[in-house]
Amino acid sequence: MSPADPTVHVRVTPERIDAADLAGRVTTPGSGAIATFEGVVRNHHAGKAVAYLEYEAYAPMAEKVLREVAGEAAARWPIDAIAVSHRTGRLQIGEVSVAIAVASAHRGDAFDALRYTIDELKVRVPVWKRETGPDGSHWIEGPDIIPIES
Amino acid sequence: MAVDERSGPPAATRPDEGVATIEVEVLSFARARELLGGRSAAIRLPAGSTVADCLDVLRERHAAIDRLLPILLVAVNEAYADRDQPLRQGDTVALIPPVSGG
Repeated sequence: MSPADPTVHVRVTPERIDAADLAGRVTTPGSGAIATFEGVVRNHHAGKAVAYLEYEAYAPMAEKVLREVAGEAAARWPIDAIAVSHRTGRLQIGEVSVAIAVASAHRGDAFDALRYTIDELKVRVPVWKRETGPDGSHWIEGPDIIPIES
Repeated sequence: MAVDERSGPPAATRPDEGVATIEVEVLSFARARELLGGRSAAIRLPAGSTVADCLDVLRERHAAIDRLLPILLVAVNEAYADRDQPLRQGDTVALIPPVSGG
């Protein structure tokens, strides 16, 4: 049995985020599976070293689009709840830039809804990352990824 | 004056302005923000202008955004919009380079 109207939490925030916190918020007594995802800042991109990333968001629209994406996932798979947080500001290597948690009765639906949400987030949500490395800084434009000089 | 503002026609169609105009707020992000030199600007346009007309005015003022225009997305009032969408008084137009969140 799955609730007719799954809970959707979304947030764009300059504060630290993690998936464990979101997992705590999505769990219901009927949930048999909690799938979580964390996107983490790594120290290399396109063959070059990365020192840190700066994330900029059009926050009100980003939250609106996140709510749409999460709502689509909740309509397509029988999940209990979904939570998505995206961080803004300067992030160091190893920090979490995006966290998602999905609760459902069974693992397959949780994995599918999670994968859909992160994939759609990357192409639709108005958030940008600026990458800084030994050669300077540039905006990353598009999810898959040719750096453009600014 | 306050009485005139309330009882008269909307500012955009006030007859003493000659041509009816609208004002929109333009928000720009990431590389668009850097090329335009600021996050927010008020732009006055002829009534009936579209998203494309607004971009033309911005290009006249900031030639540097020309190379961004082919890949730029636009949102009107926080929803992605086509270039032929008409604009209305008070709309918020956001310039959105290809997104790279996650």
